[in-house]
Amino acid sequence: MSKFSKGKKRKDPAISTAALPDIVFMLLFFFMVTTVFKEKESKKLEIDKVAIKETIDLEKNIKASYFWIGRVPGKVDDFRVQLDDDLINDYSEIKDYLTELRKNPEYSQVWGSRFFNVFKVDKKTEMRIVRKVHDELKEAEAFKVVYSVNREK
Amino acid sequence: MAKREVEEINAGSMADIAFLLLIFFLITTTMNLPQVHEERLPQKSDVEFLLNERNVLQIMANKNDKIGIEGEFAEITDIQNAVKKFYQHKVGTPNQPSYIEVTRKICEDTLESLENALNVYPDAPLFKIEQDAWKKRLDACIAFGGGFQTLPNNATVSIQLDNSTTYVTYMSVLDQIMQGLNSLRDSLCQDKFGVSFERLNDKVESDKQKISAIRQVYPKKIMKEKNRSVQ
Repeated sequence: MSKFSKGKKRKDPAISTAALPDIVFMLLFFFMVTTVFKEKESKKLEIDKVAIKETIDLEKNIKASYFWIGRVPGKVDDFRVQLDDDLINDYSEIKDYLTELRKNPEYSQVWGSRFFNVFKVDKKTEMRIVRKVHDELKEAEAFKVVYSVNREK
Repeated sequence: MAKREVEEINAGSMADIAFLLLIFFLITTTMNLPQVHEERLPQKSDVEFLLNERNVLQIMANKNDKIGIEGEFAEITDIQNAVKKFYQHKVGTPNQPSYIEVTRKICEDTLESLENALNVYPDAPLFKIEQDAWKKRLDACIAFGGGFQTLPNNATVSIQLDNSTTYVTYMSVLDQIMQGLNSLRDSLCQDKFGVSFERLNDKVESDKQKISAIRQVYPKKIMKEKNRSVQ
């Protein structure tokens, strides 16, 4: 027997997988942090947003109703209003919807302060449509309106 | 030669590296909040306010999206300067609002007489609105350490739009007004507090007072007139 054995096969050491969870977590956190949730978009209407210079950030954690005013895809001058998920046929639906919403205590508590009506309106919309929606909002005593816009650099 | 077993690589510091990266991204990434223009709809009322002509800056847009300022055709970019001129406090210019003088003494005197009036008519809503307004003005005087001039209560920028005016024109007009107003606010803020208005943070108490004081001097006053057809 020689002092230096040559017959015994040397085994490769197992690669440590202890760092694997770290890598996975790192990726997870990276995507968690960098993901920006897309704003609610309308699938039923085409909207070309306005870009202006003086804008403010929309507050976080607000209660809101969403209005979209835009063109029906495929038609030339058919502007319609979408309230939350559905196109409305008659403007009075807006008041009914808001009155219903206000019965919910979650909404009624913040009605005068942190309840917003978020508008996303196409550039070419005529003001008569916007005004009719405003009139309904006044009827429902929901006075806060924010217009979602793009910020012009 | 001796063949040594290959040592296992120490992975203990891997977690440190991971956390370092995590913290780096946590700090450097910012979420973009949706950008908006905010407005408050007026209460529904049929009362027509009679306003003094000189206290109103009239901006109009017709159905072809042409802009008019005080009855004359203008470019949309002219609005900014018109707004600045309207808000800037020069006493005695014709066709300009008669600005009111606000000093600490005037605030205190007015508040006192309002207090007396409220003792007699405890539920008069107009007195309460006045009282609120003067309290804010007094706070502003304290923040500036002196008096200032501001627009009278019934002075306003008025926007008249045709029913067929497009939304983009409306937004551009509002944007121009805010650009004019914010540049005035900014120069006042630089002058009084040495910082730009945009950098004041309304979540910090001392900044909040400054913002409120500056808004007292240059209040956002926009009135929308309804359904008047503009020629």
